[in-house]
Amino acid sequence: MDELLLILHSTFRMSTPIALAAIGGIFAHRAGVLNVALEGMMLIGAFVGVMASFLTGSVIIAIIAAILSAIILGYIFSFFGITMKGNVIITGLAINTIVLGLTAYILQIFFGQRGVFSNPKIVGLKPLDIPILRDIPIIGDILNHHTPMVYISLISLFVAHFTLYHTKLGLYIRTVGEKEEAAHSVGLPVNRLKYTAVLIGAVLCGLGGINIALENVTMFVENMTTGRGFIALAAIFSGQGTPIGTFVFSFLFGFADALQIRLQDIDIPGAYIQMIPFLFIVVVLTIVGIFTVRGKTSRGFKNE
Amino acid sequence: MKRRKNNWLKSIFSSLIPVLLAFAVGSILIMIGGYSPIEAYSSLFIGALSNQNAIMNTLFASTPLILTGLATAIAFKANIYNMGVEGQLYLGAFAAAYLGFTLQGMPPFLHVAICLVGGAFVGMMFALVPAILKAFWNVNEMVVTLMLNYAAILFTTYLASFPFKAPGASNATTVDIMPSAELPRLFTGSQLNGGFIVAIGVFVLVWILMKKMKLGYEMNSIGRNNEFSEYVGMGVAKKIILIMSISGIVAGLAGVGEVLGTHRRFVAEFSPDYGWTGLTIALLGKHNPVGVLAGALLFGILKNGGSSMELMVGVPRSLIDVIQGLIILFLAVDFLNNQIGLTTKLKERFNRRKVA
Amino acid sequence: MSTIKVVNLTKKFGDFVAIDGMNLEVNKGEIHAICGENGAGKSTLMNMLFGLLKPSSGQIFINGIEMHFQSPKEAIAQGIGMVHQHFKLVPSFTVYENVLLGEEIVKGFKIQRNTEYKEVQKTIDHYKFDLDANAKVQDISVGAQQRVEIIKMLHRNVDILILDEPSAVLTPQETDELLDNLIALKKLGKTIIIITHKLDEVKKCADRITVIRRGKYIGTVNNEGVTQQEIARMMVGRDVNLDLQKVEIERGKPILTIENVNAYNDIGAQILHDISMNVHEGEIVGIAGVEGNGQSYLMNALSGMLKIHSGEILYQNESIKGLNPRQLRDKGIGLVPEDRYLHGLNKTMSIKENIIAGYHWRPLFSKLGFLLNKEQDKHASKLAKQFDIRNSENMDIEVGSLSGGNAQKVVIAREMSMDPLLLILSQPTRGVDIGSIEFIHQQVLNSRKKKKAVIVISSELSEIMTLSDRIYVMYKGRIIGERVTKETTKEEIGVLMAGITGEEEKPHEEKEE
Repeated sequence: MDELLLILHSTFRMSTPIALAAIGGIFAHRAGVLNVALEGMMLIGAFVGVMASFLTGSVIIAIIAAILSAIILGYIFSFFGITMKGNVIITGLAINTIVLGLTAYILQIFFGQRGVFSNPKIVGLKPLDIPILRDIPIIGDILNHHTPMVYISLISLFVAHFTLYHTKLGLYIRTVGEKEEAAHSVGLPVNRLKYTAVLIGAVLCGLGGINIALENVTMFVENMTTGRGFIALAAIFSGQGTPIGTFVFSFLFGFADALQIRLQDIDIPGAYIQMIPFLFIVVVLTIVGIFTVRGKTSRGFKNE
Repeated sequence: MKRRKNNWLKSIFSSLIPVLLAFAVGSILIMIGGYSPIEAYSSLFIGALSNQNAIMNTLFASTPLILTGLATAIAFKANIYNMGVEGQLYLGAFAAAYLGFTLQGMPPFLHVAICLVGGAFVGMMFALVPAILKAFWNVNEMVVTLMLNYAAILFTTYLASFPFKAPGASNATTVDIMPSAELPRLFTGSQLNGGFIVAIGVFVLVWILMKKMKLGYEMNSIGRNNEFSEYVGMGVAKKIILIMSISGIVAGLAGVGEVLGTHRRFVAEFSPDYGWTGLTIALLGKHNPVGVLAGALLFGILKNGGSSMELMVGVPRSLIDVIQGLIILFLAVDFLNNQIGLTTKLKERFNRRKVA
Repeated sequence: MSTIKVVNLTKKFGDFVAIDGMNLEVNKGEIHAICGENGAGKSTLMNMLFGLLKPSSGQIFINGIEMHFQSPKEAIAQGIGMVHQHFKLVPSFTVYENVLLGEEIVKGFKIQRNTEYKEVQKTIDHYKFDLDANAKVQDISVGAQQRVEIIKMLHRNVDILILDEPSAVLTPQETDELLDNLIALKKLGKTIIIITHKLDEVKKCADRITVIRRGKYIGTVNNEGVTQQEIARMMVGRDVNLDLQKVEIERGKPILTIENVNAYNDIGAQILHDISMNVHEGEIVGIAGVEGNGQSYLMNALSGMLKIHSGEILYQNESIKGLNPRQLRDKGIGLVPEDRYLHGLNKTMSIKENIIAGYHWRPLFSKLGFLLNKEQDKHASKLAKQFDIRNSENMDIEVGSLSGGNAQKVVIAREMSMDPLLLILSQPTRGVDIGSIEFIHQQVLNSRKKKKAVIVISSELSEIMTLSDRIYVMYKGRIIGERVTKETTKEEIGVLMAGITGEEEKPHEEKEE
């Protein structure tokens, strides 16, 4: 029982960066912009967060700086992908490569560090002890003692749901993604909406990135996001672009991660457990596919 | 006829401009770092191209990229998003290593051939998973290949850290392959090995396939309009399976080459994103085999020259990643194309002035 | 006073002049029809009025004030609304969400769905439209979707309503209902501009008619006192003579026999009901019907693109049910699909590559998996000459850069080049200029002369009447009548197309839509 609670507790911990990036990424996804740059936005967030924390000793400034850096990246992505009408996938991949190189480059020329940057002056995110939550059995054990980012990710789930389905902004973003001509015909600012969608994602990616760097380890490691942005993208796809579905899949990835760490102690190769969420997504998509194709009477594939 | 030549020039131009722009931005970064861009870039090109050894090492660096680039280009040409080259490469590599250290007493040529075929076969089988899911149930191949990449990397890491771990090794690697399975070095003093010959051979075959063969024509057609292709009887589902198989074979071979020629054993997570870089190169080369070859050579130059730039001038090698990223970024926007219509806009402006 | 006045308006796309010195005056409270052939520039003109395109030169006056619209929003603000041929609705949204798009009712940040629904339903009821504001757009019929578009504009208080080819996608009943709605709106003081090339509708509802041809203003006439033929002559610029000489041919043995075919679409709705028909050697069979009555599905079923649920298709007394498009072509069936740039051609490939597609595996063009380039070149140039494909001295240019007529000739040339025993054409002259129409028709008649069997599916009744020896009429996925052309009239077929068979039949109630 305790074991399970511990695993669930660390599931929240592990899934938070993915969930943040995924929930943020939903907006671009729903606006019809495939944002492959989630990965880079997280990495820049982690990097700038660590730098700011190191230089100022303030977590708040670190968070603000991380968000700002991700937003700048979001603008670059949007400028090339939306304004200049470049291929968004290529643009996204480019951003990821640039960030990967740039973070390592800056680390080396300014701090003389190669690959890893760790310093006692870096202030990390502290877990919160929330009075009411503390006293609730089980839920308290799972949900208490997390960094603020965990709670922000939970809040962002609800905010995202509300924004997407109950506000003008959400309605417009969905319009742009589903039928751009409809948006054009009533004079909605299509490009500005796409920008906004990408930038919302950037903000949350910045938070996700800083959580990776300042939560447990308080350091920056080259490429420390290790594909979490792509996993977030997969969570969005598998969750069909709904905030709740996306969150569930992010949670699943976090769960497998947490389980894997636990199981390492009892000598079960973690690799197997880690493979589960990836294979699970493939299986889910296959089942969905089998059901959709069952009644199909037309030959071939639709152009996309 | 004139029109064609013009297009050819145009495509060279449109690939060159992003490269130059990227170098320009890169030089700003170099200056920020307190170095001289001219020194840095000249040491880069000297290090990559100045003598026979340098050129050999550049070709060596390009070898896996040629293959992963071609593997991606084959699929992308038909508008199939095979993002799984990295995973196919890992499994192909492991299969080759396994055949390399288990089979004993083989004649060298045969042993290498078996490893090549084995690795290619495993790469193909692994690529068949997303292909079949796509062909039969229209499952999004991009997500599936992306997911299977992680699974393949984790799986091979597990294999190299537990059941096949070399006794006494400190990190996750297998034992060395038999000398009979090694792809020999081509020249002394350079790591360039038989893998390069394999890569060039594959390039020639892929070029023939895409430019001269019926399947190449069908790939092109499917990539541009798969509903049309179905309507004229190309059987798109079957072609997806076939094309993905070929892509997987080439990706598998990329892994085999690294194992037999470079590492001579399987090292967990040995690939510095060869699959991703290959994807980039495929896009850079516009899915055209010649373009891919050129792109792979360019990236080989950057990689090899990057090391000497770091060594000679002190500019960190990571700058190369930034420059590569910038090249891709500028390439995503087709400067000469009508997408932003720079040329059309200029022409229009010019015409308007004439009218006024 | 005229509510819209257009003076010397010109629009260029690159070197191409789409609208050339156009003049137009529309009076307040009238229904004004803009008529012209395909590609005459009708839509371009209207898109400029609605702010979707910016004129290259010239002036637009609304109620006497010159306008320079930057976006549709500004046009709407001036009381101009447009209903596009292709609807601009979000399928997964409700009717009220679509109507209010961009003008949501909010309290704080939250959209007030209930209020929105009531508001929109009120507007719908005010104009006495048949529409449920709460339905999702993806669940309602095409006619209802068009009403959503109209309500969307009316809700924004527009005085001028532009409709672009509004009846193209409607059934006859829906068209009648639309025309009634338009006349009712006119009585409420709205000004209506309707773009169309269907002259019977123009005659039914318009007050005045402006004809344009190749981007140029031809003239404006009062509906009263002008005949359809006179309008047609203005549109085409010469007397239209589509009466081709048809020689008498003895029809031979049946080539294709379809027996009781039923088929369903991907989401399980039945789309073909009990189709039975046949075509003989040396015979052209026409399939008439208003668009959207199952002809596309029939074409797909005959092309091997749609699975048949039950029934039988016999080609030379052999079942071809379930064969794929390649197998069908190998049996000698030529297929000219309805959607030229989706199924007929690969827009960004060259003429040469397009003209061998579907036959490229034949030994003539490929050997051991390799393409025979020289043979292809020869073949392509031969066909270009034979089928009068203009601008074809270079077979390497993209098909997409050809005009509609020339592009269609590429498809026709390809499908006829292998001398098919059975040729099936769907909407063979849609969006094609008059000259090419005559040419294509002549080719079809030549096939007949060579004792081949031909099926022509077309929603242009005149085309069916000109070409066919025998006519089947489709209505709601069924064949509801068969006539021999010589023994019938255009009127009789028109009545059948509207679903009226004359016999007492049980009404067709389908779960379609």
